[in-house]
Amino acid sequence: MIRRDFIKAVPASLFLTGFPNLGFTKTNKDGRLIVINLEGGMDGLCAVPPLGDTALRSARRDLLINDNLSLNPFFGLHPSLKSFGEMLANDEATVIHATAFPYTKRSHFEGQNIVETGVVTPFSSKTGWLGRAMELAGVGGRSLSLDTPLLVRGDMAVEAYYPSNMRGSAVPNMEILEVLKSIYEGDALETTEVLQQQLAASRNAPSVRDPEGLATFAGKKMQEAHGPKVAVIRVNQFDTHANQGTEEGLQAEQLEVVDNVFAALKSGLGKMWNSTVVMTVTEFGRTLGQNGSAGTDHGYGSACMIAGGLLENAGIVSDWPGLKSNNLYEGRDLLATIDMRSVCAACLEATFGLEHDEITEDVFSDKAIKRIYNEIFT
Amino acid sequence: MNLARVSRRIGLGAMEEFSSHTNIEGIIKSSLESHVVFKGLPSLHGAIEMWPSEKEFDLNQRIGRLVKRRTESDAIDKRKLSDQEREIARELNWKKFSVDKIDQHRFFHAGQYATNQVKLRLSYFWLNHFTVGAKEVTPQLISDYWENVMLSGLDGTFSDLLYNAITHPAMLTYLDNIYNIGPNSPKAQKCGSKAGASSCVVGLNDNLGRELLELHTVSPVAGYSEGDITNCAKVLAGWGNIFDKNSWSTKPADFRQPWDNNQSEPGRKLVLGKEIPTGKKGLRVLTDFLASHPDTKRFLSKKIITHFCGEKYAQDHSEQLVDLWTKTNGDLKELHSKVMEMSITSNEKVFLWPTTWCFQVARVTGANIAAGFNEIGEDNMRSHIIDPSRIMSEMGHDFWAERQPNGFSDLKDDWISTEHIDRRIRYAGLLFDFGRPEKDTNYIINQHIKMPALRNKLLSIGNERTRFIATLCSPEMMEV
Repeated sequence: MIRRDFIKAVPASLFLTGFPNLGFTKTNKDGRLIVINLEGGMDGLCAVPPLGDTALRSARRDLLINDNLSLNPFFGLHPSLKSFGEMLANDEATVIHATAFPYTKRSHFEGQNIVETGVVTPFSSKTGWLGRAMELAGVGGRSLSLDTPLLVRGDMAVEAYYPSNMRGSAVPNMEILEVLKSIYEGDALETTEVLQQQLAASRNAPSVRDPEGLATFAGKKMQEAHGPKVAVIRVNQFDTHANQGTEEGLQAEQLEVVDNVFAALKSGLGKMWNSTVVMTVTEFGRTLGQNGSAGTDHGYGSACMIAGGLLENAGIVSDWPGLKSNNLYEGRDLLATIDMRSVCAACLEATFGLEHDEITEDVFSDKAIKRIYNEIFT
Repeated sequence: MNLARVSRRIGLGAMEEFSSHTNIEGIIKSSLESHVVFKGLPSLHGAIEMWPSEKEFDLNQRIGRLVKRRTESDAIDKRKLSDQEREIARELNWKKFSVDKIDQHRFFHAGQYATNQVKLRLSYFWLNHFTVGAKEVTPQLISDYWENVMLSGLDGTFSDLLYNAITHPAMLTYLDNIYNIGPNSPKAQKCGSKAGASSCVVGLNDNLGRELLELHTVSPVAGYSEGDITNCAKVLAGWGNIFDKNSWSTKPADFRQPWDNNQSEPGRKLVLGKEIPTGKKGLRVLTDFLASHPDTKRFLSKKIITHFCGEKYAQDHSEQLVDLWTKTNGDLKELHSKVMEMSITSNEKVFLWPTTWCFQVARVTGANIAAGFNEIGEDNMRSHIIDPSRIMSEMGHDFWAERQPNGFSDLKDDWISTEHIDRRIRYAGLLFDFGRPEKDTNYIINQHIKMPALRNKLLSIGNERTRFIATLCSPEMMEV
């Protein structure tokens, strides 16, 4: 394949002009990083459809969307992504297209493991790339789900936040926590210490559990001076094998959840939004062609959505491989031409101020990962 | 023999169930050769009774209800109603014909009161291995799948268990095989040039085919190709046609006999080099081939030993089970018997799944906060009646929940989080406050806590409530 230069396509002027650029200082590296993990394999060709590629129309006759938001003559944006579209218009969002972690075997569980560990051999690491980067930068985190995502696992304690709805139950009191600390060791001990701090600090935390509510809460906590600097939010149900839908339906509903999460984070973060990067990750994209049940099967390349005040200009960063059958990976999937690890490295550089070389060496253990910070953040 | 440890290692903490036996072999043998007797409480603090038969449903009744729910819902849509009236009518109709809430009560009560704790533990392992969950009609079928595929399957071979799991409507709906239609099937041929258009939906859906290889049998180490996955999907095409024309079926027979030749894919199919015949019999040839594949034996031996004996122990001992698997042609009674033996022999701590812990602490303390079978739907904060489905979902361990097909993790690392510790403390607190524990806390400590330092520490706690909660949430109760 012939490598092309990165295209930095600029969204349509409708979305770009007339809005002031939000300023920020490059020297401020006390950033916030939020990863939205889209589980199931998000269909990037549906979220950010390459409408200018004629092969899309013929391969997906039941999945075409008529009222996509127009980004530029080539790319559109799913109508569920309205808030994200506004962020693009405000120069505070970017799409990386035709990207994936280096994994082509189309298994959810191997793929998700690689997304979280950042290590290309599945199940070979007990820690996550974000956890390792947090250690390198010396920051603590918070996870919005019942269990601790592998993504943020390192040697440091991580807070999970998913409020209880155990009716009539009493909040664990300090006496019990002290006793448990005296009989626990290892992870259980550290986790109980964090729980104790968490309970002491946020007795009046709202008991919301929907992704949007959790995102607002995360944003509010993250704008506090000593609040957490990292959050992971999981949105599932992207495994759209059947009845994927168009403007409405399963995929549209889940993208709307993601859109609401972006909006809720921005509103919750307040001024801290200016020091924030929010990025999506997913284990793989989906097949170009629709299957027999108006859905799509496991594929390879997908799209990554990034938003936050740390971005200077909106755009679509892509080395577009094309959708003709000889351009597809194994004749069926969008080829990934950008390594997602490069995208993660750029986001870590922007938020934590880590050097690209130390990220590739200490976080991903692969010095060959290209630096694309300038393509995304300047 | 330390009965307290044995009952919690391979069972649900009911020491009395084993007390007539003098050795491990006897316990294992009698457990694997007897049935589970379903029991429950009629009300929060009632006495244990047999589970009432009117709150049990066979597959025909379940499907009959699904069909009825569907036809009534169509009728409601046609009636002249305001939006609000329609919404209420729909909800009532849904509740009237759904049985999943009752099933969850039965499952939870079985965990606390049914006989045969060993078989129950084994059934949870297999229910998790062949994960199904909340998706469209699937929740209405999970209980039947658990009881008639997993629990009953413990008496047979892995080949039977695999085939019965894959062809059960719970699995066929959960992993989209109901949408998997051969692109060259008789149905597609009839469509002619319209094949694939919305008027004639045909084509493969490889969701079940992929997981059959990756999760249920050989696992990725087998190095199968995308072509192998596609061929699995072709073998599976024709299974699970619950549709009548283009809409959802109103014929229960379509669920019960989920094979439809009209949707099957003709032609030669090779999976990992094995030639699979066309027609209905093809799937059994495929599942038998996969069930006896060396990679399946290795993958599953390691998985089940990890679950019952610990991760490290599994690394060193799974080859023994692989050999036995080969010798017995995958006879589950033989394999389970060996795993139970290994579980007692292994000194490695095993972290208990949250609901397994719930069932154990209920049996160990004699306390209960779950609603009785006459209180279904009465989840009530003021009288502290809690729906079992709420308990399971709050614990992050609900077999009816929507989740990924790889199921719940067997590893402690995946479970330890602030929220999980918070939930366990809350649950233990509820048991103390409203569950009326029958056993004295010190008795529980003396029976179940073996490390002298921990035992003394727990016994020295002055506050009764704190002592109870700390005991239930102590490392020896969470891990065994």
